[in-house]
Amino acid sequence: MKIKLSQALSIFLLSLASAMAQAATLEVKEGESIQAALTKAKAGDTIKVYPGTYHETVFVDKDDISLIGVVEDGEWPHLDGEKILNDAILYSGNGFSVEWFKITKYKGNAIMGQSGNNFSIRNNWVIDTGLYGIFPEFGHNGLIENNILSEIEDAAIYVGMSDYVDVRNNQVFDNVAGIEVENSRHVLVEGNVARNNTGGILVFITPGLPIKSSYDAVIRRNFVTNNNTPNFAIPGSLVAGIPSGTGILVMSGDQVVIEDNIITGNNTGGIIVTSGDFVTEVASDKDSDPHSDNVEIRNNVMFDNGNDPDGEMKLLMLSKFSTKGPDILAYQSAADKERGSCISRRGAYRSYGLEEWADCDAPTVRAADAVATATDIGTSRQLTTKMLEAPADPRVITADAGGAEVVYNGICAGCHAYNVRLIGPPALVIQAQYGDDVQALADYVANPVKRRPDFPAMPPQGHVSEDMRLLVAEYMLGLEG
Amino acid sequence: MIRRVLLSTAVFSLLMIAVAATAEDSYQVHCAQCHGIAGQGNNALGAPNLTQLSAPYIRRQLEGFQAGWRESDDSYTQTMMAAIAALDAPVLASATSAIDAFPDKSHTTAATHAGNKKRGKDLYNAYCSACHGTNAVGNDALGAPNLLGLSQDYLTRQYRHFAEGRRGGHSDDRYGQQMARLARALKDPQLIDDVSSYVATLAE
Repeated sequence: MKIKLSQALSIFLLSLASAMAQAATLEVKEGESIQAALTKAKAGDTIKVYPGTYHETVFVDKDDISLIGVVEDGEWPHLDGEKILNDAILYSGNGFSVEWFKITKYKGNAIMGQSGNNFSIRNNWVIDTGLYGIFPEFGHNGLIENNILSEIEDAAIYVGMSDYVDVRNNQVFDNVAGIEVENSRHVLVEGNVARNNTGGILVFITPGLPIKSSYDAVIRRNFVTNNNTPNFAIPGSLVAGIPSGTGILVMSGDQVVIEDNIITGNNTGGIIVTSGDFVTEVASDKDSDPHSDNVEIRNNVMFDNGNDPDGEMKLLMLSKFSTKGPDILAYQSAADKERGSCISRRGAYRSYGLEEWADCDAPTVRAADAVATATDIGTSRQLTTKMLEAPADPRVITADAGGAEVVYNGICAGCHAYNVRLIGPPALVIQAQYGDDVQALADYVANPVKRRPDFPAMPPQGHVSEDMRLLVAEYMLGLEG
Repeated sequence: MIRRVLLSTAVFSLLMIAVAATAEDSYQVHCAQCHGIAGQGNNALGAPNLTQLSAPYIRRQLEGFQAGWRESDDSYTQTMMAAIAALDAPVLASATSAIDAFPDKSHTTAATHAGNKKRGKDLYNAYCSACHGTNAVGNDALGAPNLLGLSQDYLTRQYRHFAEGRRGGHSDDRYGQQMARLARALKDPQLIDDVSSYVATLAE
């Protein structure tokens, strides 16, 4: 049989195309570089990393990459930052999946998402990775499940400016904040153990961030116990204002359901619902509503909370003629009737500020109700997920001001709010420092020099192209709140 | 040989004493009248405490008073400009080293502006701490002066000058320009009093 050249060429091209479409699996063994494998990888590929110690920062900017640790006989692939490197894994690609890594001794983050959608972060073991542990920033649709995190200076699991996220079955302990849902919408926090942190589970709005609201969060079936670790966050930062002994804190969050949790032994209080001025009185973000609206507290088992309230909370309780802290406290505007919040079995708890709250149902659940097909009995029990049925559209970063906004939200806003001190200096201070010198700022972020002794070092952003750095610098210097 | 070493050491020590005496003299002759014999300042005369200000900051400001970019359209500043207009560089340098040698005095006098210290702390951390430091000790790498020991009157006056464009407007005053841009973002006088009352507590 004789084939024409053109036919041969088309067959060749077809087979090439199908080879490209076929996802490959790349393997990384101790002594090799994970980043080198990622450089070789194509969208859709899987990278298997075998046990051993890896000192590197891994950047994932391709879509649909699976980074899978292979644990053998209890030996984990171990990313060790040696307190020299800032981040273990940074991803901006969509559809990223990361599992089975032990990550220790970084200065910034264990796993940070920088605007990637449809992420999955499971079965990772994270110890002392600096400011944040698992931190998807500005991502839509994701799963954070079965991870264990400890010794994090800010938030162990930080759902930041993200929507449609499930945080399930994780264990967080010995951190400042266990699980933090911040400026995020449609989040399920279920079945986690949050123990021995400064604060167990927090839902709040940080003023001065690009996403202005935090609503539709379900905090369900978690164990929130003994969160009495003294606050060891960087003094002056926002999170340093969280009182030690806080079980669950809702600050400015709306439509928050707190149901079926076990909340015990938190020395300041079990659940505190409050407005933005609880942590900072300068919540001057005209686009953010500082009030907590429509909070539903149902059927939580609570006892032994409030044994030794921290600092200002102690004074507050004394003003209410109590030396103990509360099981539940609605503070400041959160106590008002017009906020529309409700509580079930109010008589069961030592509570303050709930006088104007409505009653909500917490029906007795029978065995038959507990099966998945049970009829709706007015609880969150029927809910299975807050993730989307179909994947979110991939986030695309265009080479223009629109793309710069995505990059700013996904990377910069993780540490810089407009007029509040998070990890880095507020954007407003950067604006004062640089004026309109876009080039100087774009150059600085690629090669930062530490000049502020009481702030963490800025991690270099040289992986962002110069053109994009210029666009982002321009965007930051023009921000108005 | 040993004698020679001893001798030169002695000569060197004498020289050092002479330099110190000159520095002390420069300060006492030209500065002490307003800023006090130990650099502690005099609030009634609008003269700030100098003891905890760093030498680079003092050198830069002296340069500004002489060059004219510290002119803020206020009598205290004009007095300062007139006082040093005729001084040459060696005199200013020795006065600066005399100031550097004074023991720091970071406590301020009684509070003169009432403020909400808790709100002041939040505002300070958000707007000021990035350059002046969480504890307000300043940061020479960023050109930010130590704020401890400065009276509330002085702090609020200078802040107002920045906010109103009377200080930090000149292109030779790079750090002043940065401060002026920042000050324009937070102008409410009550909030400024909140911040200065908080800063006063940091010195305690």
